[in-house]
Formats: sequence, C-alpha cells, structure tokens
Amino acid sequence: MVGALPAAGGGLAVSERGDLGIATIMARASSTAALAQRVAERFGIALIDGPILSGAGAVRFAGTGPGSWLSFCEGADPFWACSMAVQLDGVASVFDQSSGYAVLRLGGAEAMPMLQSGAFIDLHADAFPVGAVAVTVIAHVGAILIRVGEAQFDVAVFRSFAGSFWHWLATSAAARGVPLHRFSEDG
Amino acid sequence: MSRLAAGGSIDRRQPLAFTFDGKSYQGFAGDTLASALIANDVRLVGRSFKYHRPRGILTAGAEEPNALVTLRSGARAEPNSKATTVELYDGLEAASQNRWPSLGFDMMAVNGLLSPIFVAGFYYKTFMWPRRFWERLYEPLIRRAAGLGALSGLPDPDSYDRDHAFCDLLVIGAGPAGLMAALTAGRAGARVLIVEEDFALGGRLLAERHEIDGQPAADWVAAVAAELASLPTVRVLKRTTLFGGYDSCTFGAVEKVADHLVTPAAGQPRQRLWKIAAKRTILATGAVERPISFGGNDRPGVMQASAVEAYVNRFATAPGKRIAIFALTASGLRLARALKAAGIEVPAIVTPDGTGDGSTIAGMVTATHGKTLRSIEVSGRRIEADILAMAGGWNPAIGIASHLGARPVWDDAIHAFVLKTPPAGMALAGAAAGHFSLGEAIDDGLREAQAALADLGMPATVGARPATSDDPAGVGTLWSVPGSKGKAFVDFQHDVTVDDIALAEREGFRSVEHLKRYTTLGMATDQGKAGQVNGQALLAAATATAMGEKGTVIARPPDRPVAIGAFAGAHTAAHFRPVRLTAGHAWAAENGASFVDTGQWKRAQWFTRPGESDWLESVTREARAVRTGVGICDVSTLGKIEVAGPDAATLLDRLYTNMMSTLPVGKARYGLMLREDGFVFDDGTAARLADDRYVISTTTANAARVMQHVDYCRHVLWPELDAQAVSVTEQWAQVAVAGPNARVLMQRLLPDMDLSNEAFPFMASAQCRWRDGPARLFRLSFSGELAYEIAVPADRGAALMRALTEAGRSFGVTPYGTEALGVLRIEKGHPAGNELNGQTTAHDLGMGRMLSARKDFIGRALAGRAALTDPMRPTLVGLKPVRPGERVRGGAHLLPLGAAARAEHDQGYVTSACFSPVVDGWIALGLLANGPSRIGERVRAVSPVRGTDVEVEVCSPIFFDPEGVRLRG
Repeated sequence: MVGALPAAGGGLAVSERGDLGIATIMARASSTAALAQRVAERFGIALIDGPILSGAGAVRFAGTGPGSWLSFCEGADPFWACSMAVQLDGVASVFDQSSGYAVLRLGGAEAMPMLQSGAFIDLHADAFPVGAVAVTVIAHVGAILIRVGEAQFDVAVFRSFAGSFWHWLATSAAARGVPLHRFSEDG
Repeated sequence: MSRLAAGGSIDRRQPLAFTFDGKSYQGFAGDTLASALIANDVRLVGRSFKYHRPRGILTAGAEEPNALVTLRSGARAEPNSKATTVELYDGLEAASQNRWPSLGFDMMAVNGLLSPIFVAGFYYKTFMWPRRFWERLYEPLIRRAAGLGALSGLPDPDSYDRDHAFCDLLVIGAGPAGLMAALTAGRAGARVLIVEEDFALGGRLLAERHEIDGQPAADWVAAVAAELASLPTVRVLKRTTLFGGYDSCTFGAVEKVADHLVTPAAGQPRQRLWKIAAKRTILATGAVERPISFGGNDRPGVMQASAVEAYVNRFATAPGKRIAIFALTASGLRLARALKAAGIEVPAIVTPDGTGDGSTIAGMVTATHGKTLRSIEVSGRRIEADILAMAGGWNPAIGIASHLGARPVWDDAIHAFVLKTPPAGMALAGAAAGHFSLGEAIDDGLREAQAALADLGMPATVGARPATSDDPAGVGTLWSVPGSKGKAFVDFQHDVTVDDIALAEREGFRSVEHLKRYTTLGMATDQGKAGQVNGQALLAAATATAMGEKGTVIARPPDRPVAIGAFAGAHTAAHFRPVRLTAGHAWAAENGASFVDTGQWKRAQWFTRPGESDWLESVTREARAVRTGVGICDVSTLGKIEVAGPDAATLLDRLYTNMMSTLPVGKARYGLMLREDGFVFDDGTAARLADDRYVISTTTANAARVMQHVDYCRHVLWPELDAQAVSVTEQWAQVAVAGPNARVLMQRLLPDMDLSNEAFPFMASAQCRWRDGPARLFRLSFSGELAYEIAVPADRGAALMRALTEAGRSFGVTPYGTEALGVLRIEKGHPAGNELNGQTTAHDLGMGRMLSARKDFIGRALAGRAALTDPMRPTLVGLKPVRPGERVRGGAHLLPLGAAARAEHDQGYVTSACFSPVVDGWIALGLLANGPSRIGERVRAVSPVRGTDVEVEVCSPIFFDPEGVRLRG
C-alpha cells in the first residue's frame, strides 16, 4: 500500500495517491449548517468549517476556506463527483477535481522538516496537529497540505505543476542529504 | 611565524594548507583566513577603494573594511569576502583585489598622490563635461580604477537551499547575553532558535579572558552549548548570519552550509536561506568597536584593540612584536594585560587624559610611519611599534532593530547610538543594548528571556545567575585628533577622511543623509559599521550641533551582504519559475513539437515534420491542413472556471457585457468581460451545463486574473448572490478539432453521439462519455472552420491525443500549434492577446454591439466615457501589403502616406501579422484611428525596430469566409 517506509526507517518515503476521487465542495449561501447535516446523514462525518480534515474513512473533507472543502474519496470511480453532487444537491455546489490535483503522500521522519523547508507555515505538531489542513505555497507552487499522521502528510498540487514540484522535492531532499524513496501506487 | 606556542581555540592537531595570492601557507582548524594570515606574518592584504592605499587587517569580524579578498577561483570565485569571517579550510585559495599588477606594487596607487583632487564629490564636479563622455569614457575608466573584486562571469556551479523556522524566542547572537537568554528560555521548554554568524559559539567570550561561575569563560560556553544541544526545543544555527528584520517579526538569515569546504558534497547546497518567524526576539548582536581618526590610521599594522585581543586570545597569534595601544575605553586598557600574558611587548599605552596605570602616556597618536607600521608619533615623540591597537569606543549593533522601524537615539553616557524603544516583540541584551560589561550581558540575557517567557505565558524555571568576573566598561570619546599628520580615515573602505567630512559641511551637506550621499560615508559593503559614527560626530561638531540632534542614518536590510544566489535558491535557469505542462505535453514532444512559454505553461508552438527546415514551413502546412482536412490543437491551457448555484446566471450577466442568463442549457456563447474602467478585460465562451451551472473559458494569460475577479465579485461586490465558482483548468484536458473533416473524426471518437448539424449545431455543448468516463463536447470555432472542442479529465488527456491521432490517421489528421492557431484566427479577424492588451475597448475591437443595453455589467458606465467612444480611437482593421510578397511586421506604426515617420503622425499600429496560406501572402491586423471608415485607404506600416516601411491597404479584418459558412457547415 501507499507510503510504507523502507525497512531501515528514517528518510523520506513519497508515493503518489492515484486512486483518489477529488471534488471541491462549496456550501450554498447560508447552507453550511445544512451541508454539515447532510454530510452527517450521508457519510456519518461531522463536517468542520475550518482548516481541519473531517472524516476518517474512505471519504474525507479537508477544509480549504470558509464554506469550502476539498473532498477525497479512495478508490473512486470516474463519476464519483457526479454522485457526490447528487448527494449534496441543494446544499452545496460540487466540482469534479479528480484529475486536477496530483496528491503525494510524504512519510518518514524527514517528511515534516522537508515540507517545513518549503512551506512558510508552522508545521510543529502543536501548531499543525494530525488532521490540520493548510492552503499554502511551496516553491512558488500552490499546495494543500494535510497532516494525516504524526509523520505523514498529503500534499495536493495542481497536476500541471507536478514536474516542478517533484524537482523541488528531489533537490531539497538532496540538499538535506535525505534519501528519497519513491513508491508506486501498487507498492 | 607569529603563532603563540599555546592557548587559543585553534586545533593544533589539524593543520590546514591554504594559499594567498598564490603563495602557500599553513593554519589550523579554528582559524579564520585573517588569523591564519596574521600567524603567517602577512601584513598587507588589500588596497583601498579610491586611493589604492595599502591596507592590512583592521578587525576580527564582519565590520572589516580592508581585508576583502576573492575566495576560491574559477566559477566558484567569490569576490569581496571578508578574510576576518572566512573560516579556514584545507585547500583554501584566496587572492587580493583592486591592485595591478600586484598587491605590493599597485600602479593605481598614483590615485593617492592625486588625492587633493579625489576629494568627496570629485566625480560630480569633474566628469560633468562633455556630457557624452560620461558613458563611453568616464564611467568605464572610473569603474576600472575604483572598485572591489570582480565576479567570475561564469555560471555558479553550486546550489542554494531554503528553509523556514518558527520559534517562541529568536535569539540573535550567541555571546554571553544570547547564550544566557537561550538557556533560560530553553530550560523553560520554549521553542528557541539561536543564530550565530561565527562558526563557534561564545561571541566576545572567545576573544576575552573572563571567568564565569569560577571557571574559564570557554568552559562555561562549552557547558551551555552542550546543554542547549540536549534541550529538545532548542535549535542552534551556527555560521548563520541574520541579515534582515521584516514585517510581523519575520527575519531573513543565511547559513553557510558548505562555504568552509573546497567543494560542496553532491547535492549539498553552498548556502541556505532561512525565513524565520518569531513570537519574541532578543537582539544580542554585541557591539562594533570604533576606530580613532588620527593621521595615518589606515596604515597596515593599525588595528582595532578588540581585534588584537581576539587574535591573541582566540587564535593564539601575535599580530606584532611590539604592540602599542591608543585607547578611549576600559576594554582597550584590558588588552595590555592580555598582551603581557602572551609575552608580547607593549611599548606604549596612550590615552588622551592619561587614564590607566602609572605607565600610561597622556596624549594622542598623531601620525604613523612605515610601509607597514614601524612607529607611531605621540605628542611629537616617536615610539617604535609594529602594531597599534586603537580602542575608540563601541557602537551597539542595532541594525536589525532599525529594520523594524526603531530609531536610534544618542546616549551621552556611552557615547553611542542606542535604542531606547525597541520594536514590538523585540528586546535588546548586552552590548547591543549599550550594556558593555559582562555582568550586564548575563543579567540582560536572563532578564529578557524571563520577560519573553512571561509575555508568552510560559513559566520560567528559576536558575541561578552565573557569577562573572569584574569587567569595567567605561567609554570616552575623541572624534578627531588635533595636530594629525597625513590622512585620517573615517570610512576605511570608501576612503572617506576627516577632511572630506569638513569639506562636505563647507559645501552645505549638513544632514547625516546628505553627508552619506555626498561623501559615500557608510555606503561600502561594510555599511560603515565601524567608522560611520565618527563621521557623523565630526559633522555634528562642525555644525555645532549635539549628536542627539544630528542623529544617524537608519539601517535597512540587508545588515550584511548576501549572495543573490541565496535568494534565488533552486529557482534558476530552467527552474527559474514553476513550469506547467499539459496532459498532452509528452505526446506533443514525441510528435516534434517546439514549445513556447505562455505564462508558466509550455505550449506546442508548431510540430516539425521530417524534411521541414523552417518554422514557417511547418506552420503553413499546419494551417493549410486545418483549412483543407482536419487538425487537432491542445487548448488545455485556456482558463476554465465552473460557476454554479441558483444565482450563477445573474453573476455571469454582471461579469459579461452580453447576456448569459438567456443561454439555453446545451448551448455556448462568446462573451466579453470589461474591467471597471471600461476597457476590455478578457474574452472567452460560456457554456451552460445545467440551469444552475456554467463552465466559462478565459484566455491562457488571464486565467488566474479572471478567477480572482470572479471571486472578488462573489465575495466583495455581491455577497448576496448564491453562486459558487472554482477553477477547473487543471481538471480538464481540452483539444480543439478543426477543419472540414472534424465531424468525421469526432464521430469516430464518439460513435454513440449524433453530431449532425441538426443535432449538434454551431455553439452547441454537451456533457457526454468517452471511454466510460466523463467528457464535455463544445462546437466552438476559433479557426473559422467546422470545429469542436472536446474535454476529458486531464489524466486521460494524453490518451485523447493518441485516440484522435489514431482515429484520424486515414485522413491525415494534423496536430497544430499556437502559431498556426494564430494564423487561422488572424485570417478570421478574431482578436487575441495582442489585441486584448488592456488598452482596447469593445468598440476598438469591433465588438461594440456586445455591450448589452438591457442590463448592467462591470465596466458599463466607464465604457461610455467620451474618450472611450471617440471614433478617432485606433480601431481594429485588416491590413494587406499593396505590393504582393511584402511582409508587414507586428508593432509597425501606421502613418499616412507621405507623412514623415515621426510620433506626431502616428495613427496606430500593427497588432498581429502572419503569412496566410489562404491569401497566399502576408496579412495583418492593426488598430488604426477611425479605422472602419478608412477601408480601401492606403497607409504606411513603418517599423523602425526592424527597419521596414511597407505600403498597406486598409481592409476588413476578416480575410477568409466573411459569411461564416464554413464554421456552421
């Protein structure tokens, strides 16, 4: 599976999360509460309107702005966003972004220092705990950071920037003398 | 050799070989280049900026004005490196600068003989006439004669890294105050970052002999360093220069990662730029010793007393055999003890009033002698000395606080500028606060750290205040030495003398800011850290003004020179900015595409086929293929914004000049957006996907700007509208399929759809399926041909390109790039980026009828301004050369026939030009005053840049199929 660390531990393990359905969810006017209720009904998730990851199962909502989320679904089919739009009809506008982002999972002891070297937001566990979300910039590339574990982060960048982002990742890892382990989706 | 047999914090077990001006020497680990040169008896290290006077090492720190060398050679050469801050490494290579042919014999030293004319303001007065000589003669000559080291001119082979740090407490400087502060806050569990420029912690404790807690200060430093290293919330950054304070308590620093290595290891950066955010900051940067302005004070051998102390105590060298002292401070007098302890003779201790022990001479040094110092003159008496240590007082190093707006004030008690009111969130400690004794430094560090902790609501663990040895810290002043013989320097690096200050005052430059610009006082790479205050004091005295009233200049970042490479980081050459690649990029590259930068995007410009030698050949073939067969073009870079919600239609009606709410589901419409000021902002299409959902397109260049504009309108102008919008540019790969065979090709791709003209006419749109995934189909045409645009999720973009190629192989489907796209749209008279240039109105572009009178929209009121509806405004027309085969150039000015090519005859210009295969000649679009009423008229298209002058006929901008039969076919 994704993000497994090398046997020796340490270093930085990077894998691409290619199986994700992604959608931008934006609450309709004055409908944030109604949306939260709908999400609770349909997904059993307490949706938080803030820079926090809501949900722990296959479907999750990462708060990216007031009344705005990036929703992720593992193992989604190509029409997942359409079905999401049906589920949230009347309370939110849903926009398919499944192909719009490249999502990398960074794990290992060096994941946090690496991302910290790129992002000017405090990633210390006290300031950016597990579940925290940030919309920020790394190496001039817009990035959405989600702390999914103590030493595990998901980073979403617009897919057209993936090459430049990888260049940053590779050169920064080299600058730190950090061995970079790249994993494919199927291990 | 002048290395002492014992002592110092050098490692005698680690000898290091290095060269200076090609000669081999040896030093030890723990040396700086300066200390190693001193240990090897190298006295002459540089030439001054203007007079090319021989100069020696003056200081032991970053304020060094003289000992500037070029470090390394070839592409790694780094000019203007301060020998006093360069950590010695094995294989270090350094060369002196600003001398020819050699350091010992410098031809340009003739400038020193001419010094009576090279006074302050010399350039301003001398090189005025004739004016035209300035660029060609005077400036090149001056630049060759004056100046510092030269850049290699080669690409930098090294890389530069970047990092960020966040902390509760930032401690700047790891001297006694800084260490005490870091320790206090670290023990309390605060997140502490302490940055130190030096490669060793301790600050003045490295150079001075003190006792702390009954042990030598070095042992105390070692114990503190060990404890700091053990504290999990404390980070110590050595070799890191904090160079700037910025808004909101953020700071910039640069870490020397590999500057002390011959070559960085693979992947290892040379330097790392740090951006630091601190909740609280303690500035413990110490103080810089001032020189004294007596005659000949720049002679090699005249040094700062604090520097001599550092070279003796820290580096175990004897800078001279007979070291005289001229002191205004208690610290200067302390030096005598250190020298005597090291067995160095002290022939004289001079103080103006005889302060000191019984042997002190009351008097002043008025002159120095020798190529390097051999003797000094005190009250007419010559005293032999090969080093003179001068102790002229201390300048608290408060530059970083000044960056944040704090204004220095004069303190008569210590004769220095200090900060009475530090910036919010910052406290000063130790010598930086003007508290020069060791005891005060320790007290300050402890107290300010505790205050910061209290501020942050963190309980401080009370530790014992370490006991320190007694440390008198009195400071006197002596701004000029009466009876001086020879030049007395104030600013050593810029060769500013006491006389220059007097001259500036006489000529009316009486504010410190004017003095600075006129004399260049403090404007060299050392920023006048040592001597600038002396100049300001002389000015104050000359104008009979108190120092407090005269004031000082405000320091701005950077506090130290920083290599530009450190700011650029990894963003150089091809990685200068992020690159955006479309999903079809690799496919295009495989098919011979040349790419052009369009903002951050790489777009295929044309596809070279075997046998084609010229871009125009490829482009013409591609354009012709679209007109006669079918072509495919990746248009994924165009901005795509999805707008949804009950009020989506209302929002679009206000954003576009034309009506979008009446657009039926399943249709698309061309739309124009204006800026608030009435000029055209962007154009594109809007397709209605559902009652409450549209997808709009923007130009590639304006995609982000339009998205910002839409969000601004939603959030700020009309928050009452229930409409949501998001960029989906990245989600969809979109391909234009254009040409008479477009329908056949699309039908092969989408066999289940009825693409007949009746079922899917011009400007139709649909959400459909392709290969069991979502797709969108639009019947849009930029080329004027029967054309479609198909969008699929970007991860299928490459597959779509391949599928189209495969499906169209039998009838020669041709990929085309942005150049052919341009040809096709110019032939059709469609405005694009060249015409949508921010200076054109809808009327200018022939789109006046798109300004709906039935509704309000952004830009409507100001688009009606008289100046924007004036028929004499340059308006879109077509242009074709009168003589077939002549080439019209983009940017050419349009002038009446017979009128001289002067600005007053300018009537417009050519916006776009191309070779048109259908016209079989060069055609152009242009903006011409009163254009539409001048069809048939002939004008000149003059391009002074390209040297062309072509007679052209004004025509309709639509060169091909003016009725639009083909695109509806």
